[in-house]
Amino acid sequence: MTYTVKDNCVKALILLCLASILFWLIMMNQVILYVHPRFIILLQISDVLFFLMLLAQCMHLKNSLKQNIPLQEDVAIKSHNFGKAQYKLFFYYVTFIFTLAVALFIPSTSLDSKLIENKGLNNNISDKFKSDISAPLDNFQDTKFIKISDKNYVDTIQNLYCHPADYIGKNVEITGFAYIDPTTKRVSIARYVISCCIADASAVGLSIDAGAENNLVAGHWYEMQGIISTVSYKKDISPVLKVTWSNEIKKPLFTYIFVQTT
Amino acid sequence: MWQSLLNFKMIFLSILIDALPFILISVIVSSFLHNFISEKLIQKVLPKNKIYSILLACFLGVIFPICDCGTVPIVKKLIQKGVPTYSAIAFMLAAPIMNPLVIFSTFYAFNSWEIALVRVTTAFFVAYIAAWIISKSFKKTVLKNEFITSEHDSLCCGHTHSTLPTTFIGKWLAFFYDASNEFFEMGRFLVFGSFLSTIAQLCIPHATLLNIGHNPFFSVIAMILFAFLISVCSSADAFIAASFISSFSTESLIAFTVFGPMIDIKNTLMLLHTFRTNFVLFLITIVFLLTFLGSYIMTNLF
Repeated sequence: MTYTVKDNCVKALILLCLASILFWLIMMNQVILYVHPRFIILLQISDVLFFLMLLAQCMHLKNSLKQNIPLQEDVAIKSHNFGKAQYKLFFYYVTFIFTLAVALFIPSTSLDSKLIENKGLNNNISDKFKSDISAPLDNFQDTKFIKISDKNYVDTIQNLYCHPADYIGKNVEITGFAYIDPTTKRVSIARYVISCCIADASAVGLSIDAGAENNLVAGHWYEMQGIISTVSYKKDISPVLKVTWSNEIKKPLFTYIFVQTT
Repeated sequence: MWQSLLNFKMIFLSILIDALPFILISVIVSSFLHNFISEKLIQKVLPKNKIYSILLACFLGVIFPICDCGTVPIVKKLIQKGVPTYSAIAFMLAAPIMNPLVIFSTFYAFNSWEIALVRVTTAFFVAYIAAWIISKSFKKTVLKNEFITSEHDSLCCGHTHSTLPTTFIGKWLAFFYDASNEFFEMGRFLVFGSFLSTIAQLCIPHATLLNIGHNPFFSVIAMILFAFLISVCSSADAFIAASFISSFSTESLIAFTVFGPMIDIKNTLMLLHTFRTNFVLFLITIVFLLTFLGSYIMTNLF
């Protein structure tokens, strides 16, 4: 088999694998383990493009074999001193082969809670956000019970951190995984918030006070209720959920909170 | 260990999947221009006046949205066909950033038109001033061998050329064949960049990142160096930059997204192959200094 034929075959094979994996991710709705759902339409277009490129590669291979062009091109390769063409072929495509191996042989999952040590907790509730949010959410002013769901997760926690005094005494229900800060040993219930892909995931959570005899395990999922109070930390007043009831639950299938852009 | 590997897979693939549509659209548009729009047409519309010539070259990316992976051979050909060096360099620096695809992908990655605008204006600032300085500093040819004609055999650009028939369907298959080859040419750098970015996310502790990221001077230099090393395509680098949004200053992210598409490892090697070494070193130095300066000016301006 000549260099040119091998090159075409490798390209066609890689395109077939990429198109199939992408098709499977979209069909099985696994793609939202990696990216925001708004990308699905773009990824469907990408899959069609992969199939068209695969078709073009196959047609080119067929025609070049018919016209005996591979042999002519191999003569050109030799005249260009590409003696190590086989090694070149391998190193040219090794990144794609690596990607396919990672996609096929390592199972998909959600990000681990320990990754918060690299990403930080509540980074996006920074000074920038605090200055943007000038007033508490209206719909929480008159209510005594607040259920923090997927839809209001980011808004509610941002408001809690920006206006903790307005929430004192309110009953709050939250679901998320437990995170224990390795240095301060403070316990939080957190979720990963995604704006584009999970590489930009930021952890957003609420500090909790589960009492001295709590048996929360880092990374395990809990739903809990409690009363909001405040605590002073580094000249800042932060909200704390004093837990009145908690229940360990099974890790949900889709664990992320997706930021709505529209 | 196993959990770290799982995290690696998820972050690595998420960066790739996120960038995939933009890479593919970029290679499709690039292939369309390669197959259906001639360089002669571009040369014809370039004005004789230096100011207008550089201006037009800077904005040529709007209708000629080429990735930085493919600019060096085109710039070489443009100079050989009589386009002034400064205009060709302005096009090479600006086109990978000042084009609709990259502007849209920047908006998509950061979810902010403001960041996209700052990126584009900084790129324009760098490309225009760099081209102006080059016009004053280099009067003679900067090509290594100006008498070499534009030879383009079947293997000089690393891939075989289409043997598909010249029928209507054949032309479209040739179009997708070129797009496919360009995808493989650019894709490997995207994969390698995503790999490095994932390693950085998993290995660099948050506290260390915050220390570098909060230092206004070192964060910009660190991100410029990072952009040079990872050599990511301009339509995908915004997604990598966005993953650092919580740890690095806006100036450093702008510097990352401006410097990377202009100068990186892969196009430096192509530049050194095509242009004189003193010219390439001069170009890299002024682009570095202007990016550093421009990222501060533009970020604080908007």
